[in-house]
Amino acid sequence: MELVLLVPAIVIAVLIFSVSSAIGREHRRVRSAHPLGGPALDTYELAYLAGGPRRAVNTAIAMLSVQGRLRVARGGRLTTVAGAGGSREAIEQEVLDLASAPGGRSAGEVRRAMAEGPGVIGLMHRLTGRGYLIPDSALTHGRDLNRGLGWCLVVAGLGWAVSVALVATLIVPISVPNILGLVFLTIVGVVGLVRYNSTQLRLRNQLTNAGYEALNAARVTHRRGSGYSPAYAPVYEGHPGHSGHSGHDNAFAYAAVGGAVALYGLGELNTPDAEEIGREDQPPGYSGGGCAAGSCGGGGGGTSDSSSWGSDPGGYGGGDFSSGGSDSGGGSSCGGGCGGGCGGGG
Amino acid sequence: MAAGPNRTRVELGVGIGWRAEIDLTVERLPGVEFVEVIAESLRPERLPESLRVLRERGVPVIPHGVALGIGGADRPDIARLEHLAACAEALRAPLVSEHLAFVRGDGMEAGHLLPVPRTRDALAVVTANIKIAQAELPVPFALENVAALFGWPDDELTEAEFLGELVERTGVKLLIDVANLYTNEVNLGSGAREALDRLPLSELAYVHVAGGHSHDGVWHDTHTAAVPEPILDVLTELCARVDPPGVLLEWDDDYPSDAALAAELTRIRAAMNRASAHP
Repeated sequence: MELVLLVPAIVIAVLIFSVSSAIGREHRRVRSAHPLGGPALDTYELAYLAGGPRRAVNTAIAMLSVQGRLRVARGGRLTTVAGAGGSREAIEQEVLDLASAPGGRSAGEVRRAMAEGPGVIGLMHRLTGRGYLIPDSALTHGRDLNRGLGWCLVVAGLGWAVSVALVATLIVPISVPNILGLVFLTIVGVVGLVRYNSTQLRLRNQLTNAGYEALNAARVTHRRGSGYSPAYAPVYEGHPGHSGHSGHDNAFAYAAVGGAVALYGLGELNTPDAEEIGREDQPPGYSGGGCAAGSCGGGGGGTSDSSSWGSDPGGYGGGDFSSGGSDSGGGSSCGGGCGGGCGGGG
Repeated sequence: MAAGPNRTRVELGVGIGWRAEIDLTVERLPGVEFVEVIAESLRPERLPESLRVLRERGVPVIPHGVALGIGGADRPDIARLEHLAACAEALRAPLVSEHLAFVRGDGMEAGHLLPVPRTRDALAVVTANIKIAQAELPVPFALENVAALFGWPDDELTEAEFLGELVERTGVKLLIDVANLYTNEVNLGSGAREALDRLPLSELAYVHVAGGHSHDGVWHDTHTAAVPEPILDVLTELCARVDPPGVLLEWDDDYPSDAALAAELTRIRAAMNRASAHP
């Protein structure tokens, strides 16, 4: 009876640390994929790595807005700019197609529609194929192991409760080994719980080590604050569509905007449009409608479509101020501040 | 109610029709001195943030009705008038405008701004309707001439004469749409300049300008294109006769770039200035 609590505590601890160790090994294995080489990652691939589908779509909206091909209204309503043409980028063209609906679409609607659209899915497959993203199926074993860790923690919790009850009712003697067993079980349980939660978060993050390295390298090239400048704003004098800059200057400026928004979020787009793009759907105070000859009439009320889609997956390093949230650094430890430490663990 | 013309003049400047899709554009366009909002699309108890921003900047916002149907045989719907009044109060608007048109009859909505038969009998009915509207509204009331694809066969008055009589009998203000004058000139052969000569322009509240499209020789006032030069010429003609308190660009769909809209406002200003350069 002297060791009746210590022995089960040791058994449970061994179980928890074994499973935890297996999780670490699995984590290192799946993230160690080597990139296949090829061209440097483009703006949208970087955006996907930095902030997932939401960041990629927001970057496309921001780029089109800055280029004057997409109009952003309050509440995040997006409409195409007449005569501005299409885009060669698949993800941008998808945004333009959606926004060309009569009355346009809200940014939230566009994000929801594009979440499973060819542009975003294509990005994901490209990044996975090149070794920057882990295929979701590759995380299945890790998730199974973590689920096993969860069950071990349940057993540990039950064991701790039973141990306390046995000691409190003096069914087992209050001895040094038994008290040690109880304390040990408590420590093991807490450590296991922390490990379980951090693994849960890490399993939502699909970047490989190469993905982190590419992201960090891009962040060295594009520093925060290198995005939109009022100098790139369109000039209103002269002919429609003129921006006052040469095509080369514009291309450079747009690339800078795209890179900054892709890596750091909409906060880099220092215009009123940015907040509206990041806004999720809210009921408007206006129901649209104009008065071209022959088409006048009454208007209806607005609609409320509150939705929460678009929150970044925890592992992608922050969202784009959805519903007043932060523009960076959300989620787990990856993306925003991962540095060289990501992908390891154990 | 008011029997004589209202002599109050509200200086508005050059403006653009506010639409939700272009709210940020309207806010940042240089030189927008007033805006107009479709009243039926507005909830006065919950104004869009953009309109609140514009009001805080001191930009006048005019509620523009499109569904009152003051030219109909029925009395104007009091609920619609109350809505217009609520919009005017919420926006602290200097006036409210509507169309001289009928839009429904016997419970059926036309979905169009149909021209009023310009007969003496109709004149009496519309006069009574305007007086009802003026009694309900807290601010001056302005009526707009409409674009027509057809005219009634038994018209006894020209559009200018009809509007002139209404002004004389009720003191209603005028919102002259030069694009509609042009439309009626192209489609019905009623000269825009002759109309300008006969309209009581001293009672002008403001002016509408818009673009459209020609299809099979018929001009469609779509508000979806740049204002063609002939319509700007009509504006110049109007400005040669009177200094308008305000001129507003209407654009309702297929919105071009911010720069293109700004350029349209510049063209409108140039057309107005041409009148003073060549009186």
